Amino acid sequence: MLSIKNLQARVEEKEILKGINLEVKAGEVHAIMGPNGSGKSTLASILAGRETYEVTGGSITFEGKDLLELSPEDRAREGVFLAFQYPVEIPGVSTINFLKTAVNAIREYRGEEAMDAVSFLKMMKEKTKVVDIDETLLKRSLNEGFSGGEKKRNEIFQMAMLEPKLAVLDETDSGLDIDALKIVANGVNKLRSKNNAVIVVTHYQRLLDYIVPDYVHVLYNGRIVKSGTKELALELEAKGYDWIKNENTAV
Amino acid sequence: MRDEISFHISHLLSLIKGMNLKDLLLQEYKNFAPTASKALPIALREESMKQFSEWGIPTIKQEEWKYTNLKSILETPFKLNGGNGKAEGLHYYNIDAYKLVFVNGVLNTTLSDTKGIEDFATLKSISEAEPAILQKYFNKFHPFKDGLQASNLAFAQHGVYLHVGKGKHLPKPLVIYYLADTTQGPILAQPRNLVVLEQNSSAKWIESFQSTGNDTSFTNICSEFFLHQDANLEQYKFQQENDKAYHVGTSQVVHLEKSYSHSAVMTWSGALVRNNLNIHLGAEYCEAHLYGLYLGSSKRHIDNHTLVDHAMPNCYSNELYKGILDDESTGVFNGKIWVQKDAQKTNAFQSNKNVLLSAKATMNTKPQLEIFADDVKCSHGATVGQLDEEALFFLRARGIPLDQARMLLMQAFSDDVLNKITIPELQEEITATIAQRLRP
Repeated sequence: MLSIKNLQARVEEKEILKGINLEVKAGEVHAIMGPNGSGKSTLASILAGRETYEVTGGSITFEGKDLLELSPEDRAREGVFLAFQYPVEIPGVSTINFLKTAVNAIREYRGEEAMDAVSFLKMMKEKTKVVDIDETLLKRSLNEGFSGGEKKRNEIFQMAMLEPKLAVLDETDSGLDIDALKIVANGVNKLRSKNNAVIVVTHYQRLLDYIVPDYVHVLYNGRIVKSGTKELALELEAKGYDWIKNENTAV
Repeated sequence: MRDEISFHISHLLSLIKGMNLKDLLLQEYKNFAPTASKALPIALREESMKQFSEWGIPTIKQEEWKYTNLKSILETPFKLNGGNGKAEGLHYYNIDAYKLVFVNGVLNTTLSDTKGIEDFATLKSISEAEPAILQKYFNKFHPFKDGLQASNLAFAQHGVYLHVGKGKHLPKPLVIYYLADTTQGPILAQPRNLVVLEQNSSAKWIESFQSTGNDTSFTNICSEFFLHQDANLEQYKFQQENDKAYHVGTSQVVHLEKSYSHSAVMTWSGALVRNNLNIHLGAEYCEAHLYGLYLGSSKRHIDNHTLVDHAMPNCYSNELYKGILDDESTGVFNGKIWVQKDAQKTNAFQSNKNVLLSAKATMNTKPQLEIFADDVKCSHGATVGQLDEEALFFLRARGIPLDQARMLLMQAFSDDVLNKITIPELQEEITATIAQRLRP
């Protein structure tokens, strides 16, 4: 589904990604871990199409298409979903209102008919169960006055509504207590299928107890320096990131 | 007949002489004075014309007009009070309301319909108002030396006098449509309105400014509202004239006793628009709300000046003006708050927020607080910025195209002023009209 080849990127004059290679197939969960500053969030942002980062080399292919050629809205409409690390608040735009616009924009792109109000509300009611989010929150301005946990749950609720092929979770666990974490992870797991894939970007191993990855990759200094299965995450937790740093400086 | 001839003569003269607007008005006054309604003492008119002659049409040398240049209208050969305008093309709001239709500044009785209002209020032409009423209320609050207001007063003839009786509540809003029919050339109109709300009465007053034809027009309007004990006034101005139109309007709300007012002015058209909204809180425990929304595009200039004069203690005022400026449009906001020496326990709040959509759009915003009492709560804030980039990216990352995402944000920005239109069907209609305007 996703093929990243030798991806290099920088922001302003600073090089952040120095050659990333990653293959993600449908049905798989990949975890990207690494110390602060390794480039994890940069990778997630670039996949979503954030313009602050400049891609200086390499390629990203999604479902056979050149992802780097697509605008952020087209990437979303092709089926890429980014769960933001810091979800923005938008006063005056309610979650319901904006989601209806988004769902119909995606349907239009796919040549499907727009959803009428009744079917939309029905779908919404169904999907709130995925993350156990209160419907009244959805009528309010997007994320306004939401707690950290509510914001993250809202991200996963939107994921449930938009049914992406590839979901990129950018440090979705940051700022969450264990109970909120479980609800969010549970939600993600409910949405998994053999037709979609998830990339979980995280600093801590904890989330991976609940969203169990098929592959774990360690990002350090702009490169993937180690790949393995979920055991690698446990080893990382036991030894700390210094283990990775030492291994790589020695080279 | 005599009116018509003299008006054509002066128009011809102005064309031949290349008269500027000031001279045109002075000339026209001479023709008008003999026919002027006696409801207003001629001495008052004469005095006003003298003031106009002295003060002239405002220039950018005056502080209050620093950012708004009237130069372009000075040489235009306007026709004054052209009574032959047609009302075709006037858009009526889809609400149940009393309506008055003025075309080129003159009342069209056929299209007007105020049946039933007589059970609640006296409604007349200002030229038929009782002299005693005009003497009591007319022109009692003049915070600024304004040549155009002086001209408006001297020519006060065509306008609305509404006097709502004690304890009466108008069951429907009153909409006054001002249509500038420019199909026969540029026109000038100077409507003057007087509204008095007696004790415990209420009214919703709506002024709608529209144009037909592609030529310019100049509307110099003044509306005064006087509120007695426990009166409740809502007054709205919707400005959707054509792209060549000039508009200078003053609305003044004088709270004589403890009362409530809610004013909103919304502008999304015209070439140059200047709105003055002056509120005088002349009694304790008054409450005034001021709202404005302006959308600038192409080379439009929209200037909103407000004044809230807290003359007495324990009053509350709240102002929210918002603007979205695109292309090379320019906007001005000047919000004066005066808190007089005796006005203790004043609560006065002011906020002006602006979004610029292009690099060439300009906004000049200036809060001006003059506070002479010491136990008060006042705040003011002004922001000029762009649409939130993070919010735009988020919406796009969810599949919403850039154009639509910008629309969503602009609508959200305008909504909290649009929500102040308390008539639901009208709020819906104006919201849709504005959304149409914002469309790329």
